[in-house]
Amino acid sequence: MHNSRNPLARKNGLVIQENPDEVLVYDMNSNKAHCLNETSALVWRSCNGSNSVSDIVRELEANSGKPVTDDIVWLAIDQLNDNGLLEEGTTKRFAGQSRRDVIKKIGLASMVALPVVASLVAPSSVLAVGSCACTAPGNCATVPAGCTSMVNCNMGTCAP
Amino acid sequence: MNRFAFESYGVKVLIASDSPEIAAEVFEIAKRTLLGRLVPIGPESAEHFVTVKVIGDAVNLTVDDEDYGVADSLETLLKFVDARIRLLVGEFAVDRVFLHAGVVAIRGKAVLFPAESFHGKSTLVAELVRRGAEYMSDEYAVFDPEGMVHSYPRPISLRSRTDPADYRSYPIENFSAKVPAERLPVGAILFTQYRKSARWRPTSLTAGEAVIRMIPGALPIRVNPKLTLGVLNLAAQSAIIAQSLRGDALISSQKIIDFVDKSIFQATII
Repeated sequence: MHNSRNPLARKNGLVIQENPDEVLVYDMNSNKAHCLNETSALVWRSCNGSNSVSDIVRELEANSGKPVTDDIVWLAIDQLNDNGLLEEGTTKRFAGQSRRDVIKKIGLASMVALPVVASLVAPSSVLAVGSCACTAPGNCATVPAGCTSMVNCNMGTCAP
Repeated sequence: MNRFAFESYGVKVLIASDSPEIAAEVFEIAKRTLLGRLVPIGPESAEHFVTVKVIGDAVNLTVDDEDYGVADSLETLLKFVDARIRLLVGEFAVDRVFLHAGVVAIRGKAVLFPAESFHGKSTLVAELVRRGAEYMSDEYAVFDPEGMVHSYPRPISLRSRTDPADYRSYPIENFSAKVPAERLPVGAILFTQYRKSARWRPTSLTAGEAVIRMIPGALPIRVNPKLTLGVLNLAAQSAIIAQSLRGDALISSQKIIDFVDKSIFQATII
């Protein structure tokens, strides 16, 4: 049973590709792609709704063979939460703090790699795959890259 | 309505116009822009629709549910249709993932330059081909489900050095280029962009980082995210991946060839 204090990884609406030291996730609800590094991937896999943060710390230590602090796991959980990869109801530990401040607090001397979730939004349509940049109206006819005009180059953008 | 219907890469398209001349011209454009890789089908089989209507002196284009409004000239509209048909097929292709990228082959390995339009990939590809690389595409890397790359050897579109607004297409024959007939494994994925006076100084990326950066240029990502993510990941797992700014293609192309040579081929010599 999912304890609202224990994080639970989201599975619905996600396309997942597991690599040995990274996990790729495409969220079909938000059309965002994420790349989880080894640390955040390990934390995400451990978020089964039953594991407490202390349990996840122990799993991370067992996997990495290195000491891990609660803060490292919480940093991963916060990032996963911010990117919609955890079920709702997960508490945020570092709410309102920047990643830089959090890392200063954790310290750069961490033995395991700091958790990273790199994210990018897929273009809203195939037409947006590319650039609407133009130097002349002729560019806009040739590459309809999400542009709102095929005939007008308005201050460097194909737009009315 | 005058109609032509075709299937290309599994995508079934109907072209229709109230003008027989325009319908025929759009069909010729489709044949050219898809490199002849289409077969006629019955109109009733079509799943996508490209419609050109004549409204007075102007012409209006719709593609499926999207109305692109009225073009200022038929020439403008036809140029737009050219690119739009490629995007349509690239987005819905069956068992293929189309990725915006320049692609060459060096000693049997595909080298990809994922990039948006107007980022210099055609210029770089042309220069690499002049230096002996085989030409695969200046626009799309076409992956199959096993992560192998197929050629899409359209004429190379280059910007005039004297007039940046002037783009022209040059037949591949102008470059004495060879085009691989078979599909190739990915040897390298290089993220690079032209910047004046920049030097080629590659730093490596992980496979996951490469996939994330390729996603915006992958045409079917929203339509078929499972295939797209899987195929890009497969391709990235076997490739050397790097990023770097680059200066003029005349100089950077040789540095890139040397980098690929050293990273892929010399690295495997025991």
